Amino acid sequence: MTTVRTTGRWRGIVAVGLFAVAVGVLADRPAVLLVGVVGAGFAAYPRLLGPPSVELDLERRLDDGHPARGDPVTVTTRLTNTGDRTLTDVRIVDGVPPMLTVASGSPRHAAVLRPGETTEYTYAVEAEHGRHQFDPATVVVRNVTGAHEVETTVATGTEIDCAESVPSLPVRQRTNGHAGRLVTDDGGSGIEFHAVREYRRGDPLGRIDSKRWARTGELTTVEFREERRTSVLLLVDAREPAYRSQREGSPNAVAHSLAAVERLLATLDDTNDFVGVAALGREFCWASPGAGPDHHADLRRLLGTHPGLSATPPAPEEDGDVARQTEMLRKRLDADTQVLVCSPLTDDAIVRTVRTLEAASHATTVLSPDVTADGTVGERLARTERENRMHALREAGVPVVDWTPTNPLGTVLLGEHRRRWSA
Amino acid sequence: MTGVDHRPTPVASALAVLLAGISTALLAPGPEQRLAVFGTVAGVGLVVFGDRDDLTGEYPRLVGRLVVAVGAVVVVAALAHALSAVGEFGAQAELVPGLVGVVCIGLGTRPLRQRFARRFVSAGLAALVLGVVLTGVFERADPPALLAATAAAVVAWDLAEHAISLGEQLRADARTYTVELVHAGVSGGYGAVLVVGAMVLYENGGTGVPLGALALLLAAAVTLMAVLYN
Repeated sequence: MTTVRTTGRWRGIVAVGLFAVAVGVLADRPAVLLVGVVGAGFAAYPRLLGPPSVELDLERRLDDGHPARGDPVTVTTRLTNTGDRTLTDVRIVDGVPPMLTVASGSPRHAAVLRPGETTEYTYAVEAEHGRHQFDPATVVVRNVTGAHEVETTVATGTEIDCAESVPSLPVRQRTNGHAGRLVTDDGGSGIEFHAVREYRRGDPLGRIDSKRWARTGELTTVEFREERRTSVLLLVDAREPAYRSQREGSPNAVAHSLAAVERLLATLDDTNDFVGVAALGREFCWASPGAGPDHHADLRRLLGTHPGLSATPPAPEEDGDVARQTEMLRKRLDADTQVLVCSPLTDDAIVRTVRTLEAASHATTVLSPDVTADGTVGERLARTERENRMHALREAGVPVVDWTPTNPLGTVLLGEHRRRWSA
Repeated sequence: MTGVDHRPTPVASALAVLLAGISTALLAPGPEQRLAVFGTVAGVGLVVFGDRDDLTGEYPRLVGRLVVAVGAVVVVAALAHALSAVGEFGAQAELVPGLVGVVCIGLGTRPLRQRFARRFVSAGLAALVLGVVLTGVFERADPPALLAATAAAVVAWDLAEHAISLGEQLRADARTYTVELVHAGVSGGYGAVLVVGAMVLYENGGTGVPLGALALLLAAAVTLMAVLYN
């Protein structure tokens, strides 16, 4: 998208000329009149040149595309003027992924570019867990007078992938009956001991507790926990109220939710669990649960490109109707699909959505990135309201994982797992 | 300074303050006046750059504040000197608005308040132009000096505004000096061309035409320009 603007910065200069001419005439001083010539000359200055014609090419290199968490990644950005005019005032702001912070140097740069010339600059970002796509770089080109400027974006696909293993998906023990890796409370064949019960006709011979039979002559059958497959829908809350961040410049809750979804997808990569993705926001986003590498690749593409999951928040009026979107979601969900809602719980509408899903007998779990702060009274109020919402959801039987994004998601989920939060 | 640094970029800021000083010095040739101009520019320089940790490196905040305080004292002393040591009214009229202009441009590029940075710089230009016009009215400088001082004042304003816009869009830690120098060179060159052009006009053709006719012509030209803008 390219916009051409007139900056109007020279607009006031005409006053210098007018003032000098007026004083020169009134005081009868030719020399002061002459000053008016200089004023008029500068007033005409922005008219001498039109907006610059901008043709640019961007190249971005990383020293390490697969860093460990906390490692600095050096980014080298090269911008080439592919047009045939010299650009005297090129300002570049590189599209650093929203979740990453700049560790050293500046992603911003200015340069003078002759035709064919390239400017290169480097900076470092600190790697965070997850897969991070660079946004297009924003380039503002002013002509030499500064009266006209052209703002445009130059894109090139670059990605930092910082893998994190998440031990397990925070889902409830409800399954669709197919064999998988979720250990259930149902007795049957498996690995982990579940219970001993009275022998019934037809039980496999190998599961008869032979020691007890030898001791007491009583026939009993040992049962193991059955391992089943689950079907999960990862639902991202990307409505306008969810685009909140702890402080200016830090990633917003939607960015955290998307990063969490990416990581959860990665843990499901080598399983045959069914997984789908949906989002509530300015546009309803839906990909039905499925399995396999192709399906996962499709989900990733959807997460990276869907307009409803953009890094920039929508205006409040372009936000979709959440009740209608919940209804659409409910109609498309299979009866045995669980829902994992990623939401900062910043308002009551999302709580109603969770309750609606839960009431429609979809086992629902909430993963809530905490982006509240406690600086001002308003911030403390928002924190308390969020805690109340979490409490209300837990009261209603919905497990809520409270995730402070500075902690790795894997650690948080492992901790929750140990506490056996799952119902 | 903590947080995101959106201060005006240093090279264009320094050139702007320097050019504002040159503009004033061109009008005020007396040794006492020159001393006042030099003192003001040096003091403003300390105030603008004294506590910029992006330029001065890591030294304690207190030292930075001290340097700024020293700069402020130097500016006040230079202004006091301008008012006391320069006795004649005309000499003060050509000097004091210029000094105020230098200080305003300095406060705009420091900036005292980010929101009002551009207003300070515009006020600086207004003061500098007022100094030029007063000097012309009292006939205390030749036309070349008046023209050069005007051009220097406008270019100083242009550079200060450029520094502010670069600081807003790219922050002060980005490498911007090539763009600043090219912009300064082109604006300064255009100013020089205007001065030379006006002088050629004045020397060769200006004398025979009655002032009233010339004034009308210029007024018409400037009005045309103003109309064209809207």
